[in-house]
Amino acid sequence: MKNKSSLIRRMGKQWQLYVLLLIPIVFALVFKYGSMIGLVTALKDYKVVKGFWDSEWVGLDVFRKIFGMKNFGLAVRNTLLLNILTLLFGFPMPIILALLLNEIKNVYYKRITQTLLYLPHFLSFVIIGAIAYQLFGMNSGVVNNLIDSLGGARIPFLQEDMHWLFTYVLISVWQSMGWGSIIYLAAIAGVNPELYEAATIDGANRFQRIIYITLPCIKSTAVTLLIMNLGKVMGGSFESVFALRNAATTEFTTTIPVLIYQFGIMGGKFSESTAMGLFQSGVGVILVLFSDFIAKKMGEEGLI
Amino acid sequence: MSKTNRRMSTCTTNKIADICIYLIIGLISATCVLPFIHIAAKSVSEEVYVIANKVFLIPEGFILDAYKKVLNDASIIRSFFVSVWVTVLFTVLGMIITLCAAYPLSRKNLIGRKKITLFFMITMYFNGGMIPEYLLVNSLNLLDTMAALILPLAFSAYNFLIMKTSLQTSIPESLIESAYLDGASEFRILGNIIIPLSKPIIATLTLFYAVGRWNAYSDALFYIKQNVNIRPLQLKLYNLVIASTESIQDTVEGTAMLTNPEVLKAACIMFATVPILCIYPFVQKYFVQGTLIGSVKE
Amino acid sequence: MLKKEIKQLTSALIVSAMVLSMAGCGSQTSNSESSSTSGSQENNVSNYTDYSSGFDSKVTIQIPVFDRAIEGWNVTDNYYTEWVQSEFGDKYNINVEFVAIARSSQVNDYMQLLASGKAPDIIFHYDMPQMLAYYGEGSMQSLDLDEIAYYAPAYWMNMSEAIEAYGTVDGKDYFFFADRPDAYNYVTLIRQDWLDAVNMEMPTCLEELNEVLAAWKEAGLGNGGGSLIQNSYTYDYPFRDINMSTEEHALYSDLAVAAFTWEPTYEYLKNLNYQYNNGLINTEFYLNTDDATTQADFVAGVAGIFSLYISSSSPTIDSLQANNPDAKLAYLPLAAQTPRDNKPQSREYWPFGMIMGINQDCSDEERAAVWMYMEWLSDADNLFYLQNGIEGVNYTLDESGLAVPVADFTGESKLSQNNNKDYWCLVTESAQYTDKELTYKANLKNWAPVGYEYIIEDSYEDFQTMAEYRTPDALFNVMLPSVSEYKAELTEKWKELYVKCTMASEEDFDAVYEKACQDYLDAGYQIILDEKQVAIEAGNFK
Repeated sequence: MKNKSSLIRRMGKQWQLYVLLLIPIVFALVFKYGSMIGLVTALKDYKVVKGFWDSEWVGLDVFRKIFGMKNFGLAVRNTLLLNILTLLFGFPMPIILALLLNEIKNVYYKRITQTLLYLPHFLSFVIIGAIAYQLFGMNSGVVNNLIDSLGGARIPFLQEDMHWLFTYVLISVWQSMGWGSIIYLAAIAGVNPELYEAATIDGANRFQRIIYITLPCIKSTAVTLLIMNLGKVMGGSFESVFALRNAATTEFTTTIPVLIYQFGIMGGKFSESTAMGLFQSGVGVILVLFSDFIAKKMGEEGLI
Repeated sequence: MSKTNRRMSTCTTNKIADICIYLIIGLISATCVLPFIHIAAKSVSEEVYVIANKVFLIPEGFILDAYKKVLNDASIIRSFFVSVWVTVLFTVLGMIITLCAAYPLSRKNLIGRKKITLFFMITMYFNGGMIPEYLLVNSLNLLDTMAALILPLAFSAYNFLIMKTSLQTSIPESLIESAYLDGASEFRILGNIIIPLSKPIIATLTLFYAVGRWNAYSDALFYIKQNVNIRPLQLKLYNLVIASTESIQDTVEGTAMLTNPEVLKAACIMFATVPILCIYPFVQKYFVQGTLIGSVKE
Repeated sequence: MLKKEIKQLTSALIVSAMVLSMAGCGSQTSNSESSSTSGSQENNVSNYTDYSSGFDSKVTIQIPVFDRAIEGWNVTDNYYTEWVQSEFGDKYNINVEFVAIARSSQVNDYMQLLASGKAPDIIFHYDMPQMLAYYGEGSMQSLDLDEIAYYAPAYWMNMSEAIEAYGTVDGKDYFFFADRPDAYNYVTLIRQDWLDAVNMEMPTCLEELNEVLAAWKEAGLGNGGGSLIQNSYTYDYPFRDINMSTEEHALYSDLAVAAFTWEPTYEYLKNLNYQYNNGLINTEFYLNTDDATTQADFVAGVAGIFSLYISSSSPTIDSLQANNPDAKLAYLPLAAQTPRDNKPQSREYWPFGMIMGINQDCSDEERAAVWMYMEWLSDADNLFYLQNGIEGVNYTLDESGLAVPVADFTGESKLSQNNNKDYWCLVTESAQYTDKELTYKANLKNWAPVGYEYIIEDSYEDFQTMAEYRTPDALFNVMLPSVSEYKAELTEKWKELYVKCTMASEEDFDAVYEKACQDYLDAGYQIILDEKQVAIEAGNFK
């Protein structure tokens, strides 16, 4: 009794904060949780006309079915492979870019290159895919034509399994690294220049200044982003794989988002695609909570 | 003597490092601008050469007809303004919501902090799917309205988490404590302390919201059907570019495919992308180091 | 103070809960009872109310129309929709509303509209498997054919055969159709100047075609083109045995599911493998996944053969000429793609174009109004007006009675990009005149780019001579759930496996094909074959 009333009293002292929170809570409730009722289709034999309420319950049958699908295991493996590789190479790149950009003293050069660097983010992957094939195609791609004219052997960048993997990761990282560096640049902008001055006086060279001052200051941003990206490791981008895949290179190109597209949008099988989405989300949330836990153990703020 | 030597060799090392850095960044930037040069070249070439895939970086047969067509098309101009208006409203709303969520939850002593953060975070990973979302928008009578493009996505858990982290780490506790002692309300703290001190992150998230809204078309694809006047620009672009690559149905329909000319598509891509690029220079100044200097000193 | 906050929070939660329940229910309140009342009308003409003087209270019908997102055209509100309303709607006290269905996301759009109860009165699609899928979702009501005959006699006269033959599912009538007149605008173009350069005649069989391609390769002219077969399986027709049994035909011939394990497919793939390994076709054919990329090769002078649905506004020929000024074109007959010992078989189009069904929650009056609309649309004069516009303004009639459009007309009564097809496609697939000669002339005008009329003429000749070798698809009159179940997977499997077989070396081909067959069967094809076999033995096909 005493505890409860003091809890309410303490909450009461913070009433202004709760008022502020009201707006986002309402938005999240209405627009995000409002449509989550649709997740129930993963447990039903969903018929569009019957709707969510009247469609038959089938329990875990849908999940059993998708886990039993021949290429589901392959899709899981590929999804993890592509996302982990992209994370591995794509996570440090924006940081490196931000650090390098920060070292550029010429204001105009810095501004121009910054603007150029985030251009790929604005192109949809459909366009990037088409350009990629024009560049990297074996028979008539610009790069291969160049290699050929220099006397080298043509490289199947997108038309052989292992090469495809490499090219896919390269293009994915390339597309997002410029845009990703923005947030690190913002974090670096918040670093107190006096710290740099003090370090220089102490004899630190440029490299040491980066390692000992800049990096620690952007650590928390990096950890936050890392945790959030880990949550997407079972999901990932549909568009990038779809735009770059072709019928001859099939080892790594079936992923869960592609399956969801084939089932959901192409096949109209909403129960199955919702179930796959749930599987993705479930794994994602577990990973986020787990990595948050680890981060806290390591002394970081963590997400939650 | 040795000190000068050391300083000189540090100077040369620095100079070499500088050159390397400039080169690397320059090279990477060049690869980033390549696709755009390609599209720009296509947009001013003659259709017959573009169809044959002959245009890569250099235009063939320079003509500006496609741009004339784009700029003279009332519906494209209208959708441009729709996009601008929707983006501005969306960004403002999104920033307000994000700040209202991030500031309270950055206060470590808020009761229920973890639970509420989790409540928000879950929305990042679970969503009902296309049909439930459509039904929701339908039941709120928002179909075919601009509100359908502004309200549903205004709360972004991703941006919220970024801002929360930023507030937690870059706003010194002492500052807020002293504000409490001065008797300031939370609203005053938010307005007078938090916002001015968070300019870089606010600039960043404003950019994220604006660009995210400007580029997205899939919600407009589903929600704006009958009222063609409020189709945003990216949806028009999608219809031009993506829709025409769908040749699946036409084999059954048995008629020649109607496509928009390649050159027109390229011109539209340029038209849809260049405006948003112009926002960046205005935002860049917030990324200059030392913005926070004066404020942190007590 | 605190109480106020708790109150605010609680009321917010209640509001959200209400929204949640609203969102879940949608507007599905009225549709749980099936409209069996419509199907149980008696075969008695006097049971149908005569609305020829109009409806007592205003009836609203919603007609779907494809939105191709072509610039400058408002699909639901334009001169012609107003004309329909004033000529038809106002006469019978009907409000005709057009509902835009985006061509590029039509299934999505329909699903969303069905889910929210806002789908138009007609549910349509061009291919049967998707219509069966819509049927499986429970979106349509069964039809009373006599009712159609009563309200739409002219339409019924045109289409009764097709409706009775193809419109039945699980014993009841559900579908009705638009007419599909003969079309011969799918042509295969070949570079005549390349044939001349190697001194060879137009090939008359597949073997000769391969020799031509080899000669082209020798001379460094180019290859025979090639693209990825994705989901419309008609490749095996030239390789079929003309004497096969109807059972075998019903079991394997399927537009939507490739008959990978069938002998004709083996023959087709073997030939493709031969062509691939000898550089006769584009070795990156699998990258050509749409018309634009395939066309690029042809127009750039890399490939010498290209197939397309040609129309007078196709940019292909112009671009070809611009990039290759010396190019000369000819029509490649079907026989040239058929092995010497086979007959040039091909798929016969169904006798119908658009497939339609009536929405589940369409009321009796609305349905009657829809039939009346179909009747009104079928009227030759109304069709002509929609297809051509106002005489003297949009077009002029020449001496033979052919409508000659005014060039670059931009007036108020401008037709849509495809001549308003999306409005009259409910009754027919292409414009017809009552005189066959005139129709042919109109087709020439519509399909042949200026100066290339001979292509369509050759195509027409081929079309007529090959008539006896055309076979229609087998249609089952029971639903085959396994087809819709496995279609998506098998489509992906087909692409992967057939490319693998094509790209294998010639010695390895048989082994790779065997393995691929097993893979394909395991992926669901065996189940489909078994289900079809059962249906065939029960005689449920035609």
